[in-house]
Amino acid sequence: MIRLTSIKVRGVSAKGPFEGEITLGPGIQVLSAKNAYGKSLAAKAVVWCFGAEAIFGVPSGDAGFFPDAIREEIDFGDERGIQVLSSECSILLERSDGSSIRVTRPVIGKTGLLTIEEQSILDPTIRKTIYQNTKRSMQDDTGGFQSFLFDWMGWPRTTLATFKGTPSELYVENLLPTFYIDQKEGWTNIQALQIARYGQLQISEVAIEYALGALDQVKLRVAQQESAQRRAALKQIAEATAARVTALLAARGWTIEWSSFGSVKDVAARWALKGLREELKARQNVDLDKRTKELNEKIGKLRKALTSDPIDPANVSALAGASQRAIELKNQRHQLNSELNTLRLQYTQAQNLIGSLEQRIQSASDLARLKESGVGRLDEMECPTCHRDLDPETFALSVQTGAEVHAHVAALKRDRALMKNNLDALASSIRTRTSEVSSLDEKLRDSQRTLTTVTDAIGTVREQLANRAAELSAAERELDRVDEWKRELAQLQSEIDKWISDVKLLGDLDSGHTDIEKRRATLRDALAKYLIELGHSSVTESNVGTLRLDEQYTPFLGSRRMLALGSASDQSRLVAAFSLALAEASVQLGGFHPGIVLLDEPLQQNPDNPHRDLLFTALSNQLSRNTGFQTVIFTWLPDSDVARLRTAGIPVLEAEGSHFLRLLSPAANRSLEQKEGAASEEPVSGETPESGDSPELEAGHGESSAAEEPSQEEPEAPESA
Amino acid sequence: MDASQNPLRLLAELLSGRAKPVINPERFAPSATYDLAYRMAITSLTFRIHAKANGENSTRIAADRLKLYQFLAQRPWLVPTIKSWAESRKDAQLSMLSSDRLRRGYLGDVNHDNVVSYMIARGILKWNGNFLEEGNNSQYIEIIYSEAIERKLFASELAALDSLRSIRITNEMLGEP
Repeated sequence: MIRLTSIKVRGVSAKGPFEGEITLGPGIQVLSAKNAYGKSLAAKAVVWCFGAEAIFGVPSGDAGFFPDAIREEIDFGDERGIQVLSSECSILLERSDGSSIRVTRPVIGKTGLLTIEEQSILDPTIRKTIYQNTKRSMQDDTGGFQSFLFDWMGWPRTTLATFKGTPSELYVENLLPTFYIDQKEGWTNIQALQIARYGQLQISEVAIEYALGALDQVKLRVAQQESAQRRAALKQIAEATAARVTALLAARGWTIEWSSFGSVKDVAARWALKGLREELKARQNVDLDKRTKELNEKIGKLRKALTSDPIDPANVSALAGASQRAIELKNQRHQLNSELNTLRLQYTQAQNLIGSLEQRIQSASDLARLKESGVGRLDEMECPTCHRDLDPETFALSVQTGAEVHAHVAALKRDRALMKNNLDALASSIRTRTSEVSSLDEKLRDSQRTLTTVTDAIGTVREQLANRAAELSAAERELDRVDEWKRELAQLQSEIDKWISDVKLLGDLDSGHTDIEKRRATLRDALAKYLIELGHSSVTESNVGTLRLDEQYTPFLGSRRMLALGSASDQSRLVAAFSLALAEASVQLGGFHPGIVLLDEPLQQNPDNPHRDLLFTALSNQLSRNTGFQTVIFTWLPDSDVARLRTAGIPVLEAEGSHFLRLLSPAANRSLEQKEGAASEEPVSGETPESGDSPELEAGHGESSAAEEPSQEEPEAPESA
Repeated sequence: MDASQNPLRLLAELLSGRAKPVINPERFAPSATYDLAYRMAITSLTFRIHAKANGENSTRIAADRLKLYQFLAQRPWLVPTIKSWAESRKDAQLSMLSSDRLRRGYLGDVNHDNVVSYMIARGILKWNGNFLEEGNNSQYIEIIYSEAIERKLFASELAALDSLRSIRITNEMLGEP
């Protein structure tokens, strides 16, 4: 846990240097100042010094979210529009062991560089180092500010999964929305300013679990996310493999069911049941081993017939047989080509039909839009001759209602879906027939080669020998083809087997038990306490038992989301309660919450008196007793409320003047210059860090017209500075 | 012949048993092609794009030409057919082969004749011999055209009408002597 002990903003204007500082103490405290005093500027300075400006939707190093007073022009009393030449913010953080760091970051100039003045409890020497807060500064272990900050806080680094599939980490900018509630957007939802600019998955949940110290749960969550990403990748591989299997088998004229439908585990279970060869045998009666055996036997017999079997000189059937085989194959090919032509014609027609359906869907949709727009709607009209209404039905024409047109569009879309299925089926049939034609062509070529050889031979003996030789050659070629298919199928089968084993491995990655339920219960109990203390209108002592947090840490009361319950101001009460409960739970559980809660203008969300009373009661009771973490409330209170809180022992810092930035007097300026000169000559010095146990609101050291002007403003709803 | 080979008998057996007919109401929704608003919109777009100036204050189009063009606008996939017909018109035999079915289709479009009669009755169009001219209420045509362009309605119909500009359609092709 750390404590924020000082927020300082200073700079140089055309009229001279200016400065403002807020000194903070432990526990709860209220900074009370009127509108435009610079409360939000101070709160934003903390975000800036944490290097977390990205939560405001700006790029790294962009100080555009700060008011003009420290970027362009500043007003000092009656002197308005004074040019700001330079400015910077700094915060002083104190660790529970007494060590401290002052983080200083320029608002104008090199905004990516942060100066750290570090002082250890053991070594009072101040060590000054400059770090960078560029994008991914967490990965830069030597010069990265985020990396340094986690190291100094003693926070463990976490590896998170991202949308891109590359690993990332948790940054301070992801934790900040859990303890800094911005005046404008922060009250709209729990962690309203949470961002995931590095694409971290489920970053809101991870931020809470980290704050609760549930590192095992974060690890398990990341493993589950990676597992989901791996599953998606495996599913893609399965789809590609299924497509290859279908294409390969279709090219041989075989059709089997080898789909990638369903979950990865379902597909793996299905594919593991039978191999490709078994499926081919079962569905298509294709047994490649049997065919190999048959061909080997045939080759053996033909070799024997060619070399040692007797030849009958009176046998004249060789030529007729070879010729007959060629004729039969040609007939088969003719029939297949004829079917293929029909299929191609059907395919083209189906394509045309789909094109026509697309056009008709578009026309009907446009007609529906035209009717809805009311443009071109014709008024009732009377025939000048017969004085009857000019009814379209008289002309045998019909007018459809919008509902009828939409129904027609729905029917056309269904037709289109059917036609697309039909088109897919036709494409599959064409592929199969084409491969059959190709296979038949090979057989026909063999047969024609045999016929040519036999025809060229002279005499019955030579004819028979030529016939046997040609048959042998054809059988050997077929055997080669079968061997090739077996190799291709074996290759695919090995890929499928590897895929199945990858799926099996997946099962063990994302299982495990953590103590998250216990931690969630601690957060829930703390939340229940704060909701009652802050007076959420939907939560009572009788129903608080039904309060629960779901897997995303969304609070539910019974079966209803709490964000949907209560009045508009209850939403801000829920946000405040959640932020405070998280800090308290983190203290109890030894989690990694910074130990600071900054609430900017909570009263702006509760402008009516009963709700103000509820807040003050809560501040006086539960929160004041809590000393485990620091709470800073930026708001404006009338004197009566200040007195009430002080009576209850709550420190209230009251602002002097109209703005906390003041022009320094020439004497103070000289003193500051001397001090800075000495510091710049000797960067590593024994300077003692400024800190104090009691909160103090400093207004520079010099006189300023702005500082001396008594405020005449009446209390009103505060606005952003 | 058993039931499996006779579809009617199979259907009768199914209906007499536990099978219940399912009626999809959207199946009875008439096509947009028969809707008056659609037909008037397409006829108006055709007139607006293809009518030619007749004097200073009026535009007109041959009634047969309007009939063919609006027919094609609703069926953009036929435009290549009419194009090949137009290109082959010098070859009488080829011309006859490629034109007959198309000619029969558009000449039999009675619905268009009714739409034109209705538009004349509404004063949107008026007859001038074999031509159709703008009527007293012809602002309807301009309204529909502007709306279609502004809201990108009937894009395929407009594209078809536009492509017809580059195709020379003769009176002979329109079926006129």
